[in-house]
Amino acid sequence: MTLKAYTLPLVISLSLHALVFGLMFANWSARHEPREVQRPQAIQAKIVEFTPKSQRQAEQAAQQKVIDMRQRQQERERQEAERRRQQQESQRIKAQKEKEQREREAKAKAERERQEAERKKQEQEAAERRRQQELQAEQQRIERQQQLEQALSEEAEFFEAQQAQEVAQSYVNVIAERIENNWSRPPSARAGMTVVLAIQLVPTGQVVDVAVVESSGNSAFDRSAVQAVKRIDRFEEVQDMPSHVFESHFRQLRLEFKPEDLRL
Amino acid sequence: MPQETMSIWSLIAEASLLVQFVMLLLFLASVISWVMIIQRGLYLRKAKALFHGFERQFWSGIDLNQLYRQGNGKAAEGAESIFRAGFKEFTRLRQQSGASSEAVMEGSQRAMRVALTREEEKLELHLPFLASVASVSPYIGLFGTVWGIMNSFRGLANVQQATLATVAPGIAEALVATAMGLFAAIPAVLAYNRYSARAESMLSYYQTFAEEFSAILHRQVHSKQVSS
Repeated sequence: MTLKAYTLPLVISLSLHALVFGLMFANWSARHEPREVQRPQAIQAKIVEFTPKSQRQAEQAAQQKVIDMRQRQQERERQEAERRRQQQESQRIKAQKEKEQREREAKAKAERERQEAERKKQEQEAAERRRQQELQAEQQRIERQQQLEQALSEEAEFFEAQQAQEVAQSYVNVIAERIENNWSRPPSARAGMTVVLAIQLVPTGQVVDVAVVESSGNSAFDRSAVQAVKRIDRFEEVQDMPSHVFESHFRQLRLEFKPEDLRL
Repeated sequence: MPQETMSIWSLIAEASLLVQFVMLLLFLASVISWVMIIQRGLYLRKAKALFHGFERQFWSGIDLNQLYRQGNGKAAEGAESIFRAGFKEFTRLRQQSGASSEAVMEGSQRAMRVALTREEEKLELHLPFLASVASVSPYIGLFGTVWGIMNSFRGLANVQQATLATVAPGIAEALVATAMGLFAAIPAVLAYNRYSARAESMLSYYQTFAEEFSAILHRQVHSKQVSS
């Protein structure tokens, strides 16, 4: 009797707990769904110019390389076709030579004694020619391999450069975000203003110098941008970037500041 | 980031063994206290309905002998059991010749007191359990939390760069224990307060009924004495 009195409460209690937990989990997981926060992009930071000119040339070269690579591939295909044709031709020549030889042998049957010496000489000549042809083919092969290797190494270099640039861009984004968070724009700021700053960094991330390269025309606005960089003083993120990326992009950093969330 | 997919399941599953034990304990306490809450609620409601039904019958002018015989077959509950205990003792003592009216009254009153105590016991069954869940489970939850936070800080000591992201999961995990403690305690406190008040009022109803009934018996004894 006592047990019967407890079965219904037990069932109700368990189902209540299950319900509460279910609701809690559902809410919890819903709350943790990644939400895209649309933040106004106040600074459009790009690397305006990779400071050393050689860098830009290298970039152009890289672009050319892309085209070159395609050309080279085509050329390689063409060479391949040519090689095949040459092979066929040499085979054909060989066959012809054999035929000639056979004819010559037929003639030799008639006047074998006299022409034997000559035939020997001709044979030697043919062998010589064949050996020379083989040598040439070998040389061509080596040359082709060298070309391939060169192309491969150029490709690897190109990819490396591209990767370095991507890494650099990601760091630039981080830096831009930090500056954006520290930037208090003066009331006179208007949309469409652009100021370009040159920032000098050392590998610890310390800002050594900030200078206005292209003024927006509004000195308060320029000053506020400079202030924002000075306020941060140290970009710790720079510390853990590979040193070659730092040297190529960040020792002299040029950033373009352009408020886009302003109405005016 | 892996932290963003952190669910409450993973929080519970990744907690240390002691914290998990504390959580299990609190979960069981919560389930059992809810069983008690529901059972008590049903019982008290039934007791009140029974009491009102019996009182109406009692004051309807029915003969007491007949009322006694009506309830012969089934187990008596609440006021009816008090009535039956008192009336049974009364009739037995009356049948014995030579018992004085004071002895008869005293005997029946004692029998009613015993029945009343039994009823009180039934009314207040499980309430001490609810009281202890209400007062202890926040402490148990707090213990689990403190232990979890201790562990997470100990882990923090081995990290060179301490960020919020390194401590936050441990603390969130530990706080689940406190949340569960409160989850168990709050309904238990409410239920304990409500049910002890209701049990008290039921008891006072029973006591009033016992007094009224003994007044009737008293009148009967004395009227018989006068007539005989």
